Amino acid sequence: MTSLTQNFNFAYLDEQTKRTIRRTLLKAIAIPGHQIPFGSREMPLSYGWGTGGMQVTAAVIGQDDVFKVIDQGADDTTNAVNIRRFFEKVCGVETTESTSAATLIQTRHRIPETPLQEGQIMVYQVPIPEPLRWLEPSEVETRKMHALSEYGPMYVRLYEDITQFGQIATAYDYPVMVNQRYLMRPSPIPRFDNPKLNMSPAIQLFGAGREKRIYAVPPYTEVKSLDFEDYPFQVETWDKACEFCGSTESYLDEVVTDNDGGRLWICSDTDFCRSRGKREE
Amino acid sequence: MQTTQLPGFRYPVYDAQKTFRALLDAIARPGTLYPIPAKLQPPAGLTPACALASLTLLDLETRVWLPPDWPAEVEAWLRFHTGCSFVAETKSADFALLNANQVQLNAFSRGTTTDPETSATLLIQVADFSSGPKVELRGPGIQTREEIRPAISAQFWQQWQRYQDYPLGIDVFLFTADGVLGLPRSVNVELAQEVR
Repeated sequence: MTSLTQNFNFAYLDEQTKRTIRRTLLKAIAIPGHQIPFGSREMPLSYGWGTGGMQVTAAVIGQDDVFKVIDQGADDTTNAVNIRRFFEKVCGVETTESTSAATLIQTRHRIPETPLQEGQIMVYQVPIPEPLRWLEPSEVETRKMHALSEYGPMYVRLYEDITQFGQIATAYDYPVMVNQRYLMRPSPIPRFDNPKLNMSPAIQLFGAGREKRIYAVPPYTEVKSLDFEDYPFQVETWDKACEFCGSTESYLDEVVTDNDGGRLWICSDTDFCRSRGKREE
Repeated sequence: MQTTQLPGFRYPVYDAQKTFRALLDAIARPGTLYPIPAKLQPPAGLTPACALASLTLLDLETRVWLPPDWPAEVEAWLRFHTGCSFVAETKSADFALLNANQVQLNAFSRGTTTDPETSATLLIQVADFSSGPKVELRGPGIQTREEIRPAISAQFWQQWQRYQDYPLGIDVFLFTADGVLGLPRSVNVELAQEVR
């Protein structure tokens, strides 16, 4: 605890703010998928860089937690490194890159490939929490639509995809129905990760700092990706394997390597890729 | 007005965090019992677990209802340590502290259709988690089903079945001296056969 930066409260936020976020989180868990407004605070980085997720993390994190941060699946990108260092500084908690060793995982835009376990908490950074936002700009109206379960327009949008492209073209932030009641944006995770939301053993918390919303999915909760009987939900597949670990089941990123069209595919989840590489050596 | 002589949290930051995590786990996994590890000396009438949860959740932004027959010391203690305000009208309470035999679910707010989160949260003290009527729980947070038998009457469960109207509803925490069990509104309750 001596390495802790002085002059900050544990986890940066003041206790009053933590209490309001904690109360909001408990209600969010009790109403899975429902967005709850909260008094989002200024954090020492800009809105859009994960302030919502950081505030949720700050309200939840304790001295015994082992903390992991990923950005697009990677532990070593700027956003992930910064947020991890921030909590090392203001909490003095242990951090890790291993998914299975972590008790608390803050994520931007991916769910780890390694299956989550009971007792783990996922915190998602959310840019736009409202799934109906691009269909209905008025917050008053979207709240009414949620109250009435009026989700027809979203199905129309997916149908329009099919008429235009022959398939549902939404690749990320693919809308889901939570506990058969609330339409929810899963944050911009790839469609590939949607099935991992369903009946997950982990607690999943979502924080949107700029939009000042918190929502949650408790463990073992039905999360269904919207689809049609004749156009069932499908995840992306690749006819490639990861260049490093050879995985064919993980989410692959395309990396351009030169100016002559050279490219390769690698796992987006760095921890998963590394642990597989080790196993096969 | 009486001022309390009893202390609150020993370690305000860490005790609140630990207690919150127990509450979060409890509401996320209904029917599973979670210990509340922090220690504190509560005023007469409150169990340590319920007192810790009160200090964790209440502050000047929350309206609290206490049963009129509770000792004045409880109110004085909560007012001093949390700064919460007290209401006489149950419907306007954000939180209510109760004993198992005092619960009247429909006295409290279920929230509104656009803001179901404005409903009341009940902190209920029970004697134990093993001597009440057996009930079966299903719903979010429960993989298949959970069986519990906290010391609370069958009438409470019947009120639960009648009054909860998901997504509207009341969220409940049951406390013994050192443990908590969460019952979010999303839980479906079935009483196991013969109820006396």
